[in-house]
Amino acid sequence: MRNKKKGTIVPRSRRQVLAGLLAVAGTALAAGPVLAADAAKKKGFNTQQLFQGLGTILRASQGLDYKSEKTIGESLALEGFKRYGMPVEDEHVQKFVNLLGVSLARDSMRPDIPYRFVVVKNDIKNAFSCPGGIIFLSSGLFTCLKTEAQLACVLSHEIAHVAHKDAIKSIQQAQFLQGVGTITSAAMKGEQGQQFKALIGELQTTLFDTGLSHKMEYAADLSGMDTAYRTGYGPNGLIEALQILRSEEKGAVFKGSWYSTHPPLAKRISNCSVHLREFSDYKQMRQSTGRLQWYQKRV
Amino acid sequence: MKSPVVKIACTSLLLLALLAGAAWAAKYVWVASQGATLKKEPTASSEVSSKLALNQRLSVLERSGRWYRVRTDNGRSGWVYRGRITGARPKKTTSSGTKLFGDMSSDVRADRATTDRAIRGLNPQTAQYARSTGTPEQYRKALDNVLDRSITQKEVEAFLKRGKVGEYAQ
Repeated sequence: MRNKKKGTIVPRSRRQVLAGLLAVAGTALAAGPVLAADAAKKKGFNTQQLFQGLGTILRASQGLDYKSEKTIGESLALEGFKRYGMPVEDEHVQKFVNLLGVSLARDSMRPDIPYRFVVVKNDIKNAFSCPGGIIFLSSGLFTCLKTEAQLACVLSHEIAHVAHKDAIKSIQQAQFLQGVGTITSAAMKGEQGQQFKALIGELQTTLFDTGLSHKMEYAADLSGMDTAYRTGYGPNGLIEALQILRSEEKGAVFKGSWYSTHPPLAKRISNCSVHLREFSDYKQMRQSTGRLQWYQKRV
Repeated sequence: MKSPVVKIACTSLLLLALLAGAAWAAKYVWVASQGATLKKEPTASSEVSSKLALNQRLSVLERSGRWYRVRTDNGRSGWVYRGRITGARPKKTTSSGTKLFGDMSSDVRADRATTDRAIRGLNPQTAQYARSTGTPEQYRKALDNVLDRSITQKEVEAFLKRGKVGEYAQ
């Protein structure tokens, strides 16, 4: 188990912790630390080689280049506007959410791609992320939060989905992706073009209606808390945001909202509460800056 | 039953292994944040002594609160905030050639900036999808505006400073 004592460094993910522990164990048991690190590097290379040629499904989830990931994400974003509405017409609000989002993204597990955040005018409480880094937040969710830390945690949760490539993994069996490493203009025509539309349709169903797997959601919760903490926000913000959603669950619109696309709130709150114990100094992190309410009033 | 000598040897070996691992784990950290810098003093307002690259390895020299004094492989030393580093070697990503700060559509912007201002940000494949699905222009423009809203590192620093967040907390 991790133990985040005050002043310690937060690994970026559980996987990294595991990898770190394995590396340490390997180091300890091998001839020396440097040799073990080299061995781990070599092992990673060999694993990659092993996977090569195993088929197109693996490539679909892991080998899709960023440009193609972005094409899928942008196409999905177009559908997102159709489904959830147009962006809130206030440059201050959009800028604020982008500043906060990018501040978090640079400390996330995937800090090397551009992210964009958009608040769309819709009372339904929802947020979702498109592959490649476009993240949607409904005005209903934006305005119901009380602190900047809560908003930071919600955005970090969505950033984690992008970093984990959850949406892409959820459609790895899609016919369009079989044998595709790069989406070219040629791949968008004819039969393949139809397959691409089907893929975007499948993603819409997943992200707008049924939701990603519970396992992905729980992992994004924990990664999101880690990221918010690394940037300097209280990771307890996610628990508080979930509690706000739970308090407003009765009578809320479920279809197309966080209530229908995410796992039961009680379970998520429970998981996050356990994870919070690992941040011994979380109360000293920034909870509120006093600026959120100013932006909320503009929506 | 194993003899006491074997037990002691096994325990010693295990302890040695754990100590070696712990020592190694504590020795290095890696830059995990885009735009991280080395500072001369352990404060946000301190002068930047050099820029750090993502995934760069650093040796830990000492710690002061949430700041670590580190040394790069080429001998430069300075202080880095804990949120900018990680204790585990980062995984390589597949998004080479991209960066957090800057244009999201650099691959298409140059040749479209003057000829197609209305939807300059959409990449050709997305534009193709939009056409084939009959997506109304208002949605295409909305997406274009979203893609066009880039944030600079300087703006991020100012944002965190105003909110007294992270290394700017007092």
